[in-house]
Amino acid sequence: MPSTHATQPFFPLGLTKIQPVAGTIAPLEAGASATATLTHRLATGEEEAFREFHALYFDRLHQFLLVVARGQEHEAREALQETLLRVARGARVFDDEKTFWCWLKAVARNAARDAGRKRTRYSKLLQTFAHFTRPALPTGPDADDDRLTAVIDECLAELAPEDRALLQGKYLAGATVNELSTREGLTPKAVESRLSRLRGELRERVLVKLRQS
Amino acid sequence: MKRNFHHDLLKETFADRELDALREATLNSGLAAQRSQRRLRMARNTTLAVAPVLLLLAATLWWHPATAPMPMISTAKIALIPSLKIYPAVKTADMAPIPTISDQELLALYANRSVGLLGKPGQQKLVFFDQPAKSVN
Repeated sequence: MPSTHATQPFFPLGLTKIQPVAGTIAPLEAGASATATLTHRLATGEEEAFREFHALYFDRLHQFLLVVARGQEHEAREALQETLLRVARGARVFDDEKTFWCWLKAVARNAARDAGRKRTRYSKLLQTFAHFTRPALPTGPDADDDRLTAVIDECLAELAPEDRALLQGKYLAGATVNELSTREGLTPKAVESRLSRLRGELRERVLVKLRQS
Repeated sequence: MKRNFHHDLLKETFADRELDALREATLNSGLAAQRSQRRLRMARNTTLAVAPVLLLLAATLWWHPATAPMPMISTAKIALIPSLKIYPAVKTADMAPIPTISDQELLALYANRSVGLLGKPGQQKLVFFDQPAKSVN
């Protein structure tokens, strides 16, 4: 069982695999999973491991924090910065990816909450008021992940069928711009332009929905 | 597949210059934090390794003071202690009375030598004339 290096005060309930042992990082067992290897390298302070972690989780954490911050991009980015710093300072060793992601989400939520505490009393008052007036959200460990997926699906459903087909062709079927241009009877540049416009539209819709949620 | 679809779509939807700058900045600040953390860990480990040795050394010096060089002030203390003990122990009542002899009896003790008593009565000094001058009280 890998041991961990405990510096984070927050300890999410139900994560029984996390076992903090102050100041020690046990050697990695043979045949350890990719997550265990990566987190062990992170915990020992290997720079290349942080680069790998950053490349793997930057966008995922950003998307998660967009939901936590209810579509407030500035707050989400501020919290993301703090989250990545906390991971760099106090990484722990995890056996599997699911547990690691749960821990990352807990760290991200704490970072978002702490960033929120720094804001002015007036905006806190407004947020409290908004909290009481907004409808209840689904709760649970994956609620925020599911929420974002649901919002994208809702936004896609609101698009025109040909626009939705274009986005699904690009991101679901993995078609290239040339393939899409052949299928749509447009030039590649026109397809690129249309995709760019659709992404902008989708972005606005997603943010609006997250703010309203 | 569907998870990747959402992830990839969102990634490109929210990609902009600001996010790219944030990506670069967080990578650099994270690496810097990691280096700082590594230095702290190294300092802590060094301290933990050296501290027991220092404690052991300190304990050895503390419990065996005789092996350490004797400071000057200790000598002075040792010299003073016997004298302090002697003075209260002196009891004149336990000692034999000092015999008192007359001037003639004193001179009779040195009959075969050339001696004399000089000075006023009560403050006289015994002087030997057959050797260099030396005062005897």
